[in-house]
Amino acid sequence: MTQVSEATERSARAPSATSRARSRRRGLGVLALLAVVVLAATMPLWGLESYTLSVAYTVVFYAAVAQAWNLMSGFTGYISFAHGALVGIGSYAGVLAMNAGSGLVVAILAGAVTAVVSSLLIGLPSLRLHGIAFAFATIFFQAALLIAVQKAVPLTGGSQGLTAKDIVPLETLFIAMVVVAGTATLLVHLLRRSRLGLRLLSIREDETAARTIGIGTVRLKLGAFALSAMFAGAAGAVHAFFLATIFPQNVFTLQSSVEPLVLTLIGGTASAIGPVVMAAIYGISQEVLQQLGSELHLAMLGVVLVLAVLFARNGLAGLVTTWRDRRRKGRADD
Amino acid sequence: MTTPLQLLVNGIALGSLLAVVAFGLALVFGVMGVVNFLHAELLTIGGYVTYFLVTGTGAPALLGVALAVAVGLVVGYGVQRAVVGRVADRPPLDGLLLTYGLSVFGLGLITYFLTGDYRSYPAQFDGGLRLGGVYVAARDLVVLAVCVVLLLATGALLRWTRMGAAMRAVAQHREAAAACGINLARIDAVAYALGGGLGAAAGAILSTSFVTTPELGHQWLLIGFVVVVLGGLGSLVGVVAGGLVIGVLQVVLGYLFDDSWAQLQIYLLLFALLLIRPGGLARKAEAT
Repeated sequence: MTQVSEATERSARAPSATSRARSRRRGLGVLALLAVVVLAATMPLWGLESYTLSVAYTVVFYAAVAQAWNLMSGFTGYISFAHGALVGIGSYAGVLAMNAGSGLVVAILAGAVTAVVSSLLIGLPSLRLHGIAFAFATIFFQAALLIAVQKAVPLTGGSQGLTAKDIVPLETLFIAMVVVAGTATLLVHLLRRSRLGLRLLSIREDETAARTIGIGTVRLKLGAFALSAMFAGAAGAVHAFFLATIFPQNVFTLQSSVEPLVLTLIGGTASAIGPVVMAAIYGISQEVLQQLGSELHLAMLGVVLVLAVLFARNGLAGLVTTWRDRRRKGRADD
Repeated sequence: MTTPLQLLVNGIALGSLLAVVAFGLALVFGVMGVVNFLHAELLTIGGYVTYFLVTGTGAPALLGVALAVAVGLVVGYGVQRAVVGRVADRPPLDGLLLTYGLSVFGLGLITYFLTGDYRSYPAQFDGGLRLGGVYVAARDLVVLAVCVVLLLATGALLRWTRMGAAMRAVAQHREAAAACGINLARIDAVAYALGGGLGAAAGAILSTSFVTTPELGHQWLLIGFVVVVLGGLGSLVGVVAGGLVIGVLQVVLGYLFDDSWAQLQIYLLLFALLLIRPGGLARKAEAT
């Protein structure tokens, strides 16, 4: 958390030359990010085995949901336990849209829009609540949604699941997911040092102080939540076609909401690279640990969250920053 | 024939159980300021302890409740000393995330070692009493009696022992209590252990009427939170009243619609509660 105040301090004191260098560096960062996204999008053309591509797809999916969570909770500090639910809403809306005859792009948009609408429905009342009460509201939202989807049999098929009519090739889904994850990551990167991003971060640091200096916190929180839900919903729609059939008891799981939370908390909140690195580690380790059983993977996720809260509250990105600052200070002392 | 009186009786039995689940949560939150998600795993552990005791040795389920209390006390004390105690003076969200991580870890381990199988043992308490037009199952009577004993014992401990007075003092004002020479670390550990004991006892009682699965605790944890928010914190009477209200509500709504609709409606009720009186949890959290 000191990271932010340092950054604001530094930019307040900074002469224009360094601020120009900073904005040039940011421009380079955007270019590098775009290059990575474009490179990733060509992966289906590399002639990989479909198993390898599906592992890569899973990694990109985790990156997308982690960044979606990051856009809301990473910046504002309001911990959402409902992103699994938002992803699930996107999944159901996407499949329902496609089964009603729409194309893939429209289905993804339907997923995004439905998730945004739902986020406003939970956000409008509950974002006026503070930290813990908000976390609670999101937990109960997901629990209530699971029951509602199981009960709404005519629409969702209930526990029997809902199957997409068309099969979308993995290559197409992979590219779609890269676009979702890439755009979200780019937004995180741009927001980080923008005025809007700093205003969001000020909510995380001290909401009362932020309101006192005239920042419209409620509107900002709602906006961040909606933006975050848009990516969660889009990722959910794409993922539904990857799964082909979706079941409420598999979609609205505890795990689906813990994953984005842990990946981002550990990768580093409001960090663009951290959550993506964590998504890669998580997605690949899942393949390795699959032989041992998915329960152990869940247990590992819990251990990592515990360790992060105890020893690295600002995630890996925070550790890197601390280490770099210490090294810089060491060099200045020489 | 189900009469309103019958529903009331069933609701009171369920409500007393909910009060036990919620009291462990309220105690830990009141003293330490930690929203304790690990409570779910303690419920589950209590359920399995009883299941294995009853199926393994043929001992009565009531012995399982006693054993579960012992196991819960030890596990709670150990976990608090080893891990949870480290976040006692950190922002409340840290405690929530930490115990959430522990809960996910526990769920993973329990599922791995015990599999997701549904486990149950033969019903222990057959028959029942007919009083006027109301049939009270023996099982409900036993549940009610055990819950009342547990709540009274905890209440007495809080009310009449030095340790209990210290816990109430810490719940009122941590810093002031510490300034008076109360050892916060010790009181926190005792409160958490008590919470664990109550949780495991509740799980043990649940295993007599429901199947035990790794998810057992998670299914009951959310409704436990509803009771805590409704009943307010720190007051035994409030939690018991909250438990009874939710218990009766669950039974009546379950009768009018069905059980899962009832659950959905109770979750929505919590939503409304959070909005009307966010003080339920939030104000306390800000004060500590």
